[in-house]
Amino acid sequence: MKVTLERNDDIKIISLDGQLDVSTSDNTRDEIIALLDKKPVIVSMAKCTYVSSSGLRALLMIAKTAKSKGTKVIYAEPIEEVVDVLKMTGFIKMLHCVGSIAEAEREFSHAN
Amino acid sequence: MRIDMSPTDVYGDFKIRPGLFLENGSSIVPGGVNFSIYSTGAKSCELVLFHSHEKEPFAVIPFPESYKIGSVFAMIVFDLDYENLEYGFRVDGEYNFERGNVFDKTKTLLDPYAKLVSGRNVWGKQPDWSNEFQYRSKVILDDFDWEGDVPLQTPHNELIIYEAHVRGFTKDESSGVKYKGTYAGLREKIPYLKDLGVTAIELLPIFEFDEFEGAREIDGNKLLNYWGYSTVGFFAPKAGYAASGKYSMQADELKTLIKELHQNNIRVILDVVFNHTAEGNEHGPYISFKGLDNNTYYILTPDGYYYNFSGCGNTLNCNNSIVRNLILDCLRYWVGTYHVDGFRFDLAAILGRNQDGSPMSNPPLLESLAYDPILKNAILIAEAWDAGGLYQVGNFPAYGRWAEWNGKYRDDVRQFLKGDANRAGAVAARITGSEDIYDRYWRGDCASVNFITCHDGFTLYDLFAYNDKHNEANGWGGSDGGNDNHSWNCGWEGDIDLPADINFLRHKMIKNAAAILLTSIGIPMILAGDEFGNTQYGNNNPYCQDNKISWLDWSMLERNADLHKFFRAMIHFRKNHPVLMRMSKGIPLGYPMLSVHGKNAWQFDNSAENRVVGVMFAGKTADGADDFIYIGVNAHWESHGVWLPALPQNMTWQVEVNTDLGDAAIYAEPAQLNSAEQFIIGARSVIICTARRI
Repeated sequence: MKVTLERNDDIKIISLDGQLDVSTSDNTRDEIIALLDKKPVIVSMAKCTYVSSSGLRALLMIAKTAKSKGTKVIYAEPIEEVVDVLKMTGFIKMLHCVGSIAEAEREFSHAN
Repeated sequence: MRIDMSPTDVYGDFKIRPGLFLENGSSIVPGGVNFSIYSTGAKSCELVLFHSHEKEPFAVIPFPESYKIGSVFAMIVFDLDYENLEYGFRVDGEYNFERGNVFDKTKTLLDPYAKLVSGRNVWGKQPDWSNEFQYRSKVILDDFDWEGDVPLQTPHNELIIYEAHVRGFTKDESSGVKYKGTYAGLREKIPYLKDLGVTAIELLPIFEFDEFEGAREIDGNKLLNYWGYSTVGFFAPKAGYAASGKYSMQADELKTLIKELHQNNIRVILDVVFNHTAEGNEHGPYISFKGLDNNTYYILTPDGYYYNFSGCGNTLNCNNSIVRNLILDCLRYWVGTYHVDGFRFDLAAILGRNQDGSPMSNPPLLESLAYDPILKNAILIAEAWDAGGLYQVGNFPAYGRWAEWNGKYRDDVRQFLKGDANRAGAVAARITGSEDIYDRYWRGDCASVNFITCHDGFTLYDLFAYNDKHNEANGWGGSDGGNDNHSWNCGWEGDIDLPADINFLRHKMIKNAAAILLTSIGIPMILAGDEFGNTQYGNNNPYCQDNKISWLDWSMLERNADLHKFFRAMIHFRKNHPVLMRMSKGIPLGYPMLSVHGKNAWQFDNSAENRVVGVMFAGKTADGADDFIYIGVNAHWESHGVWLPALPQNMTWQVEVNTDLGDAAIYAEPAQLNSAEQFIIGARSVIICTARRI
């Protein structure tokens, strides 16, 4: 899994590239959490091709850690298969997901 | 870094160390996975590891002699990709059939404590029978965000149980949900359940089972083990009931369902089957227990054959201390980890049989369950009979704690409603809480689970649409399913060319049943779909019908809107009257809480030909006002006048329900009664009156 900090101004945009499974989820979680500060975060999921059970926990831990730091994570543009997993398991209710980065940006700008 | 979590040995490519002897099954530990298994008769044991869905193992690791304490083998294997892993055990020991030992080291066995089982991940997908390892244990990441949820704490008195089959509930196209036939699909229907007003959902078995067990083809129809009363894995949720089962995420999907049901104040009760397993008799497959410790887990005859008190080939040896612990571990796991609120025990009388099969007066298993700290608030419901002739309705060893499916309630109410003679006294006893069966002092408020229909038998609509069962589709020449249905077709068998007046009568009979059920003292249980007249086309045993016979037809909800409206209103009526739930704080001065009446007030008529029963409930409303309810049931085919009991001077009766009025059975505005007149209850009709202050 490749984790890239794509943008770091008033908003952080972090992209994921690869599979989020047992072999990658702990590191991915730790890498993203290390990047968290007060700024809002958009995690681009477009190239995340799979999320396993441990991957779901990583996404949830990231969101919870962000909240504890007083900010928020929006997961943007997850592929259909990943959305399906989130819906079936109900994690969709605990993770904020939107269809595009632009939509996530709009939400953050409205929040301000 | 812990010393006792570091590798001590190497086996082939694997770093290993002695494991956790107090654990059962598999668990994730830092850097590895712990595997623990016990077998009293095993000489040796091997851990067999597979990549997901592969036929051949990638590793077979024998437990070293030093990895054993007592009869427990435990080993930690490091650096495993546990999400892509399936495992089993091979156990070597004596083969001596007469002594009950049938060890076979060639069989790869399912972990009896497996929290996830793979192999039937997608419902109905044809298995590869050439694969010798069919039911495959998986390691679970037991980690879930419950958001503060715990099993619900409200009193059991408030229970209104809704019995449903996970798949059948939403599988039909008419359900309108996205994930049909799954836990996720059921979750989509929570708003419906909340609106209906039920406070608990009781799910037919959801422990992993094999829908292909006993699969047959009859007249081109594929028949499956649809109900699932045949457990493969006691700790594992049925993967094929999860939309996410193909990713082995069934635990998450089920936990989310339970969490959201709780958020809507709906409890979850599981129908559990501890009387037998899917391993059958001596001709059945080795799945788990048979190859681990056959004579521990099963009740065997002196020459090694299986006792069959379950009617399903074998009988679990429930009062053996090892099996007892397994059952207790299992129930504690479902309550502690899944936040399940209670259990209904299939053929529970078996749970009270001794190791030689004889009934016990003080069965240790039932006592353990009754007093277990984790199960303290769990609802425990017994189906208090078994297939070996033990019938314990009313005298199930209950420890003041167990409820029972009240089979007499079903039979008496059915017989009375269809107009049988000699049933007035019995039905009055059923409506007033069956205290002739369940002494309230010993059994508490909630011992009687009242039901008129359940999965086993006719639906409520069919009860009044068929005189005879129509089970031809089950392929047994009509020999399966009960014959003592006490059903009545209202004068027309089935639905073809159904005359309108017969249909009207059927709807009235269904409303009569609902009115009685939801005013009776005890815990009411409704079969899913009965509230909108769901039919099984006269099939009273569709255990194998994974098709439209069993699946709820939600289009009926519109067609039979009057039934749904009636059920909903009666459920809300019950909730508004604490006395019906034995939750009334006090009773009005000078009145008993429960009284029975005939055509004349205070004069109950117990004669054979009487078919008119009145019951008055006297209690207090939630805000402390006097509350009177009168239900008058006329099961006769002619109308009868009744005199209602006199009320305190400042109150008068008003009619809220009259099932004789078709779509208008529920009054929009209650109609005041003139107490100087008789009330005429129509033929085969029920009225419900409440008292109004004047």
